Amino acid sequence: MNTLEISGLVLRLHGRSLFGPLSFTVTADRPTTIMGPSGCGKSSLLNWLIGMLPEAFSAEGTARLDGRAIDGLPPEQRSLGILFQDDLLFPHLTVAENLAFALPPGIKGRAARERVVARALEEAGLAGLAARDPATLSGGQRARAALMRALISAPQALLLDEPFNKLDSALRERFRATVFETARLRHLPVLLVSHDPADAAAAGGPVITLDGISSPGN
Amino acid sequence: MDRALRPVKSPPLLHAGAAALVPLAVQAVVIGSVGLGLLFLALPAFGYLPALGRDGFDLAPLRAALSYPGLVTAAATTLVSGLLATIVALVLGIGTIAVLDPLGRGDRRSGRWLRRAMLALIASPHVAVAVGLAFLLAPSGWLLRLAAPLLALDRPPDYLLVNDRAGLALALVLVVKETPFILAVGLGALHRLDAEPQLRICRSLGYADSIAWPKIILPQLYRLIRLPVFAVLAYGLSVVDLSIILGPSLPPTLPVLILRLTVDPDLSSRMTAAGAGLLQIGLVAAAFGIWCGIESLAARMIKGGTMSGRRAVPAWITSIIRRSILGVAGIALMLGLAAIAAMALWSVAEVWRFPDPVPSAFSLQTWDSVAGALALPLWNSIGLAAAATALALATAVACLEFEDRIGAAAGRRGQWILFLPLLAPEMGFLFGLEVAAGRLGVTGSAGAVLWFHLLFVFPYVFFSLSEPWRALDTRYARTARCLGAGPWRVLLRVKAPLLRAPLALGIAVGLSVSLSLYLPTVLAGAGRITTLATETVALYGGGDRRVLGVYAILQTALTAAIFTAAVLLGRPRRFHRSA
Repeated sequence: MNTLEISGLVLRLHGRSLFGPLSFTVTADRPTTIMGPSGCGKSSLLNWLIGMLPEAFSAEGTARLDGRAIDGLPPEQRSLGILFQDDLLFPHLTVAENLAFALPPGIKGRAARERVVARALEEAGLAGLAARDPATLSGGQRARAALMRALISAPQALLLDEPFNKLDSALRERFRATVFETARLRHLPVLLVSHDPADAAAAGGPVITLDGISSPGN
Repeated sequence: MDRALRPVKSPPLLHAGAAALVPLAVQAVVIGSVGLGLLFLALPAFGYLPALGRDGFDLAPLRAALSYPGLVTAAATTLVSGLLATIVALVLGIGTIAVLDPLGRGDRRSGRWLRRAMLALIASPHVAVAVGLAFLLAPSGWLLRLAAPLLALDRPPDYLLVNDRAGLALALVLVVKETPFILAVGLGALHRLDAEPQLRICRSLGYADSIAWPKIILPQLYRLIRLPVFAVLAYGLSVVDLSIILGPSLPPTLPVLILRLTVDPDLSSRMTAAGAGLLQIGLVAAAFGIWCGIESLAARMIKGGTMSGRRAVPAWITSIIRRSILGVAGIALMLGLAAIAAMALWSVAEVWRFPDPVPSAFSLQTWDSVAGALALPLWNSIGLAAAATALALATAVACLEFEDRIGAAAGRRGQWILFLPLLAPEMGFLFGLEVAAGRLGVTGSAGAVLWFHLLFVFPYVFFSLSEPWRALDTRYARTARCLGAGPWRVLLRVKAPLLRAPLALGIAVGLSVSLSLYLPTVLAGAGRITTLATETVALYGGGDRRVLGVYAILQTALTAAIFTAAVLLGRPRRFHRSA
């Protein structure tokens, strides 16, 4: 079972404690939601997890992915997939190239890599859009392409930084369901940051609320 | 420098590696070069020149400089033409923005062609424009040839429009070249200001745009372009090549006078030159002081206007102001473009007698005959520009990448230092730096010329790249890292392609700056390394307009080609529309 384990996390901004110590464990069957007002440090928690905390912040604590300590590793070796509010598809690459960029180098040979990418596009309902400029895709297609790009890099956990926020309401529900369903099928622990209670409800797991002072969840 | 020696604290998760040393090394080289230049200027200026057996300190060189014939006049002319040119260029550049594109969006069709032509003028090399203006304004120049039928002239009149004693022709070429520069810098700054919502609020308070703009937008805009304005002022007071071509001759401007003393075979002249170099630094300092005075005066006037609560000015006044700004800016622009056309005409003229408006016979003979002599300076120019730009670009990218990896604050610390070579009086610190280079035994080598060039090329490349680089959404890099890409792959495959346009522009700016450098080339090259710019100035004394036309037009064509290539290469990737 994949687990993402955070223990004793204290996050500081300019030396002032934002929250913590915070400890919790995310498993594949319990997608966890972190909620709180803006400025409480919830997005910074994700930035700390991926190893790209802005310089104004400092943190102590450990993060383990399947028992392996990942804090201290460079971001590209942490095996964490992340989705932001915007899809952030690279605008200079085609849809297929965006996915190929994320595909681990272990899969060798041009033909083999193209096959994997094509299969992934098909799975995401994007077959036939491989050579397209991402800017020409619809909002839903872009969101699915971004999700598939994160998944094709073979992450062992999925981080979500309010990725449903900018989608219109019909699309939001559908994409939200897709994300959680996909993660469940792949046994990926999901850590979601949001201020929308509907997101937490859809996640269906524990909710940790950061109110600016500190409140450890579960 | 103690700050530079303190180890940089790096978050353990980001591999800064050698990149951490780059900004510090760059700042050290810049401070070292300018400091070395000032030191080796000050030593002989205060009487210390062991080569001449002078190892004490006294004020004799300063006294010699002050009593040197014509020096005081030269200093006064330099000061007046430099200040005048800067004020006019600033008013015209900012005025043009205010009239044609007050929101900085480039969406008004009326102004688009004027702005494009102005930006084209930035690309044309200083020396080439100066030579062209000389062709245009001389007593036998194109302007009078065109006017000859009206004035019933059959021989060149006896007047002095070029090389006039007051330095007005010099001020004119500075205005023609610096107005587009201010315009470009101002538009870039205005873009960052986001003027539209501010003006909307002013409108809701009852202010007409024509009065809200100078009261609200102008002060913010000026703050952003203040450093470039000072660079323009310092340049105008220190310029040598333009001054040789269009400035007064007896006495010349102060920088030219210093250069003449520097190359004088009589060694004791060097001490006088050093003394005059010190005065030159004092002159630039004084001009900066005067400029600060002008600034505070203008600030007080604008502040008074802001407090008055006046909502509008009579339409006829705004109309007069708009028309005069556009009129004068238009004339400056036309002169610049006509200067380029004049050079082109002369380079292919076979017979062009005085009152004829155009040559009566054309040929490529001049091009043929010059081709041989042209090859070496041409290749020198291209090689130098390529090397300087490649080094400057690599260094600038390293600095900005360091900023991304270590943190913006650490990267921006001491950034103003990079601007120093553009603010320090060229003729002053380069004089000393050349002495220092002589001590090191590198004068006249390609390496020395490259070093001197880099001091000027690097700041331009860095500042044309830094804004867009910092504006790039950092989440692209984050996403790429999370997808498994290491920092180098992110740099090459994500950041570089996303920054394609500014990278291409930065390269073009670097190349064109290097191609236009005269004084650094002459001093570091000790006359042994010739480029198109140095050859053009050297040939100017000979006065063969056809040959000069070839040199000037070649430089213009080269820079135009560079900027065209930059625009084409900077275009975003085009995708196939097929599914």
